This record gives sequence, C-alpha cells and structure tokens, in this order.
Amino acid sequence: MTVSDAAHSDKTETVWSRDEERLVRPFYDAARRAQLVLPKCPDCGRYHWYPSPVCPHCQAPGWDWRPVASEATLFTWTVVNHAFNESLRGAVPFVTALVELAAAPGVRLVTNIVDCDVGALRAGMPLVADFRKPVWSAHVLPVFKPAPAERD
Amino acid sequence: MEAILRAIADSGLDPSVIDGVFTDAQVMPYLFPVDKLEGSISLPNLEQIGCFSVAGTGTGYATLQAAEAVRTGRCRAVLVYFGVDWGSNSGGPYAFHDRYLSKRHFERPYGFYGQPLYYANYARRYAHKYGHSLETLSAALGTVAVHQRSMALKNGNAQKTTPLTKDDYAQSRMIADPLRLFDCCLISDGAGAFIVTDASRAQDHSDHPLVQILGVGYGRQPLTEENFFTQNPDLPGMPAARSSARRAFEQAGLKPEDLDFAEIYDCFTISVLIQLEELGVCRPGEAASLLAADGGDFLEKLPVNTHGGFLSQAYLLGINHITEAVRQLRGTAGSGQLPNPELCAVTMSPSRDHTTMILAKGGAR
Repeated sequence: MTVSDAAHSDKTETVWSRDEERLVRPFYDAARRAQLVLPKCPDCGRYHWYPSPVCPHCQAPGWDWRPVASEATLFTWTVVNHAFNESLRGAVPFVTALVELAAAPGVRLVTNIVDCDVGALRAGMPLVADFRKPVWSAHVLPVFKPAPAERD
Repeated sequence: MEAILRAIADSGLDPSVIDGVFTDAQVMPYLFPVDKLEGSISLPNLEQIGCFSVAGTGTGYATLQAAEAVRTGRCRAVLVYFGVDWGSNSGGPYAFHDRYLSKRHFERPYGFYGQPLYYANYARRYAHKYGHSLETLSAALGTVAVHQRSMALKNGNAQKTTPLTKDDYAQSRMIADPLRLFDCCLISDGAGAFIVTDASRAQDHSDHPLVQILGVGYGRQPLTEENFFTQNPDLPGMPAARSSARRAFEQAGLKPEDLDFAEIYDCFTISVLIQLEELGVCRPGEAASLLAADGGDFLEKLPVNTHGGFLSQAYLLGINHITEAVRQLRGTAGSGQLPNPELCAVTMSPSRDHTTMILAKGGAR
C-alpha cells in the first residue's frame, strides 16, 4: 500500500515504495513531529523542491533532509469551490496556495491556508506552518496560517 | 483514423508517398500508436516515425520535425496526427496526476488537484504582478470567453452551440477563483490530422490554395512537467512561450504585428492572455487592460481562436488550432471565415515547453 492508498482507506500503516522511502517519507515523518524538512544539497548548499535524486542546481548526487524555519510568504492562492474528486466534496470550499519559504529561497510549497478569512488573504502576507491533516490526507502535514503579528 | 484518412484524401497524395508519421509522445502512444495506425492503413513506404513531447506541445513539435524533414529531403510527405478520448475516458485529464510522485504526495493531499487550480494560481499572480484588480482581470477573461463562444457559433462544428453573454460569464459558477466555469476548456473526444509536404508536390496534387509553414519555434524551461505549475521562477510568465515565439518569428522573418489572426492554446482564458504577451502581440501585463477596456477592438484587429478554441469548440489539445488555421488561410472556414487572412500564429502549449508556428497563405509572402 502506498501512502496515497492509506489516505483513501484511512489506515494509518503506510508501506512506502523505494522511491517514496527516500524522496517522500522523511518529509512526512518530520511533519508528524511538527517539523518542516527540505532536501538540501551537501555540495552547493541550496535547497530544492520537489525532491530530486540529483541537485537541480549543481547536479551533485545525493541530498540531506534539513530542518527549515517555517516563516513563509503567500505567493499565490485559489479558493477551490469545485470538488475535482468525490473525496473533496465535503472539503470545498478550501484554500490551496503556493508559499515561499524565507529560509529556502526558490522553494515553493503547495499547501492549505488555515485559520484565515479568505478576504484577508493577500500576496506577500507572512505565514507560519502548523501541522495538521490537510483536506485530502490521513497524514499530518505542514499547512500554513497567518504569522502571529498578522493575527493580532 | 477517420481524421487521418480524410487528411490523406484532402492532400490528394497517394498513401505510398507518405514516408513519415509524427505525433505527440504523451497521449498517442497509448491511445493510437503508430503501429496500430500501420496495422489499419497501408503506408508502404513509411521510413520515419516520431513521437515528441507532451500532448499540445508534442503536436507542435511534430510539425516542426515534419517541416524540417521535408525541407532537408529526409521525407517527401509527413502525416501528423493527434486525437484524445478525455471526454469519455474515466480518468479524463486528471488521470495523469497519480503518475507523478510529487503530485501524489506533495500536492494532492492539499486538494491541489485539477488543472483549473494550476491556472487559477497563475491568474491571481498575474493580476498581482501587474497591479490589475480582480475585476479588471475578470472583465478581460470574460472578453476572451465571450469572443470565442461567438466564433464557435459561426464554426458549426463546435461542442458549444448556445450564445454566451458577458452577464452569463460573470454569473457563472466559480470553479477555483478567480477562474469561473467559462474560463475552463471543454472536455472532448476528437482527432485531427494533416500532411506536410513540399510546395510543388502540394500544388501538383491538391486544388486547395497552399498554406506554408514559415517558421516553427520550440522553447523550453529547465523544469520537469510536474514542477512547472508550482516551481516556475517566472510564474506567471512563461519563458518557453517567449523563446518559441521569438524563434518562430525569426525564422519567418516577421513580427507579431504582421499577424492577421492567432490560434492560441486556450486550456484556460488566462493562458490566452499570458501567451499573447509572451508572443509579443502586447507588452507584459497589457493583455488584461486591453481586453478588459476594449476587448472588441483588440480582437477585431487580431481575432483569436476563430473556431471557438478549447473553450467553446473542443479540447483537442491544439490539433484543431492547426486545422482551423489552415482552413482560414485557404478561405474554407465557412461562416467563421475572416476576410482574406494571410498570416497566422498557432501556439501550443502553456507549460514547460512550447511551440509557436507561423503559417501563411501560399504566395502571400
């Protein structure tokens, strides 16, 4: 069973394929510990996304999963009104977004924005990660919410 | 199959002259691969076959290869074909998501699933980057949707057969804001095909006016197909479209202002705006203002998607853009015919790679 099957069946035990084991699982395992990790090239020191067996910046093989501060800014987003799959019928409307991490330039994460009125969303707004189950997963993953100052 | 046979009949060529068959490398290899084609119709002298890139761009790139093969004498006549069954196939255009590891694990859990979301992100960032209000953007997108519907009604071979007004557009269901129902392409079954050969052979065998390929440009960005919608550093820009257009116009020795009409890959209204800018038809950010303020005037000077496009004719991933361009240049586009057009650009597709082709009425240039 892959993690995506688990998402559908709501079973907690996940069997990872070899590729998933190295390219996906560390991100998921860290998220369960409420930590955001990203692949970083040991050679050029740059982060990349999505995980790739070879650094897309310098072609060095291999990478380290490194904890990254979750301060981010909102790059773009959409309020999804149409359920593109049966499983999402109960979830709409929800916000999917691309966020840029201050600590990992060039990386954009796909995420859900939570705890924020959609009318208050604006490009560039500061966000921080929270760790919850997103709209279509049985796993805890990083989602983003307005940074504390933003919420006051 | 029917499209291929009709294209061969239309060309007036004997199938034995066809020595090349080119298509895309994404959809055709499973839907109607070359071996299946060869098992169905006899092409006794077939020597070159090729499948190129993803669907829309693939058909464009197949045309580039066909033009090159004929120009260099590697082929006498090349059949280019494409068809799609996403209208009836259960997975439709969403089936491909699960093929990508990153989409499965880093996108789908967040409900980031379905192409309208990708282009909704582009649309909102486009508005932000150029300082357009969402009202301006929506007015511009609505202009494109309404214009293309009116062209589809004239076409007579379109999925959409009822008029669409600006009000209909504005009141239509929001799918993924700012994109509404009528910003999204249709889902279709269909196919198209055409033959590329040298001018003298075409002239000898066909009564149709010649349509010449003046230039085909291919552009790309060093991103994977799965990364393009999220990691493109230029988002909402499309550098692949910029470079493919530059190469096509250079090869043709022409400029964007020379065009009489354009068939733009319109998976979504927003992709028309961005490609018009990347083509150099207008400046970056300008398409929204031009189409919102005075869309009628802009589209009168440069009619876009004269068959209704993917939004209102059918989503055939670009093959219908090419066949429509040819009909317009031949003067056989029926009640949708433009008054004596001579020069057209066809673009495919707004992603990590892109092709632009410049087609002209024979003898016009």
